Amino acid sequence: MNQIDYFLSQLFQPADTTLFSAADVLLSMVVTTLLCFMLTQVYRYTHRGTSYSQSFMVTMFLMAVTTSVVMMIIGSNIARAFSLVGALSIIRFRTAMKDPRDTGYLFAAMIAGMGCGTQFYMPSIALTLFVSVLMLAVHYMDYGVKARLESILRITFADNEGEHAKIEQELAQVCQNHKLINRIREFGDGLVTNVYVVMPGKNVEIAEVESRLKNMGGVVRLALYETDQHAPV
Amino acid sequence: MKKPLRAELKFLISHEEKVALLERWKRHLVKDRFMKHDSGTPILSLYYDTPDLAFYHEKLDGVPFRNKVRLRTYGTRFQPGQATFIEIKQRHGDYIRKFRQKIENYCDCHLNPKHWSFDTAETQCAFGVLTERHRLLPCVQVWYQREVYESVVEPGVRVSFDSCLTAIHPHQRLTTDHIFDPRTRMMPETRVVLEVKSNNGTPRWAEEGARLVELVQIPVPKYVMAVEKLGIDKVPLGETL
Repeated sequence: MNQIDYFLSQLFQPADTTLFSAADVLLSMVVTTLLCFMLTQVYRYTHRGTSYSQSFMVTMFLMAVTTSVVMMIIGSNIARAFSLVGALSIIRFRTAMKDPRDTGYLFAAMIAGMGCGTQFYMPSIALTLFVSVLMLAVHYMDYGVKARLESILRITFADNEGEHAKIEQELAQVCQNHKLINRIREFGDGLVTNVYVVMPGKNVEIAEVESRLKNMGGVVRLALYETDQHAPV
Repeated sequence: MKKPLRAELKFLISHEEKVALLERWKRHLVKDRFMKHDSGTPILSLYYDTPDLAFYHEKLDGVPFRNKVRLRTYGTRFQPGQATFIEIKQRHGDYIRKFRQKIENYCDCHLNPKHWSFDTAETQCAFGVLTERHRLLPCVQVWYQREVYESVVEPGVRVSFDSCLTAIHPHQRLTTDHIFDPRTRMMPETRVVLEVKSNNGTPRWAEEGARLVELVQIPVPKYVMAVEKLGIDKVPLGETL
């Protein structure tokens, strides 16, 4: 019986009981989540370019909540702070991660292990439970999906400056912005292919952009596709 | 005179980073006078390797002294009347040395190394060592567009941006479809390979620019990437021909 009491007291009281309680840990994670929600919204709104990744959005939650707990575990202990630096270098420099979400999960797992190793069982358990619920929630809500993304437009047309100017003019009308990123010619067929990154105008559907360009005289081939926001950056 | 050893830095960057770097470096760089179009010069390389891909494995194993042998032209296919070169790119630790021989009156027979001939003793020796020791077979073709800039002040400093990297089999003819086909395209269209080459150390402005845009130097071995893209490493080369 004494043994069970000992285990329970170890689980729910941190190594240094004067530092924080279970409520403190929970409050810290909840506030972090709320702040992170605001940050991710701003990030999503202000993001430009084709490298948008939902995975990165989710990772921001994972990293922020985990970091809030790790700061409690470290407290003012220099040895723990140094051990964290060593542990983090494993993630960044020793392991090739393709998905930022993997880095976040690895970080969370390491902090759970670090907490248990320093007898901070309660914050480790709280972190694991909270992160698990949070990650399941953002997964089922499909959080971070962007409704409007920049697209890549590939357009092949007769190689003359007049045609190029007409396409630019058309794009200026239907797109909020467009950037020429590649131009390919030299296949001996008198055709040139331009590759653009385009963001359709506010009330313009992507299909409309496609049909307006297709209907232009001189356009031989056209492909328009959205970047994959579910892929890692 | 012996060919100089050159330093070569490579970065995989986005189109936005390219624009930012060009803006930052505009005082130091001018467009290369041989650049064919505003979009860059098309470059087609046919890489050679042994039947068991010795050059490919040397790269993977990080052998400090290694070679790559290739046929290079500035267009979309090898054809008579177009300047074509045989090249060896030798790596000496962190440095690169390139040997190059122009093929006079190119014809398709030059795809076979047995028909190669050399003007100088230096190139004869460099190529002879490899062609005598190894049975070289055409392995993979790599095509891309290169935008080249030269330093205004430092001689031998060249900055290039390679886009549309595409891998095709040795006897295939490149089409625009290959350039956009995910099975042959070697990287996303929004990505560019930045290379900074120099004879006497990387210029300070180039290092500062790379640091400011927070670029991380990464290996972008075009030959190795092409071999893996087409799955040539899964089958001994002799069997694919």
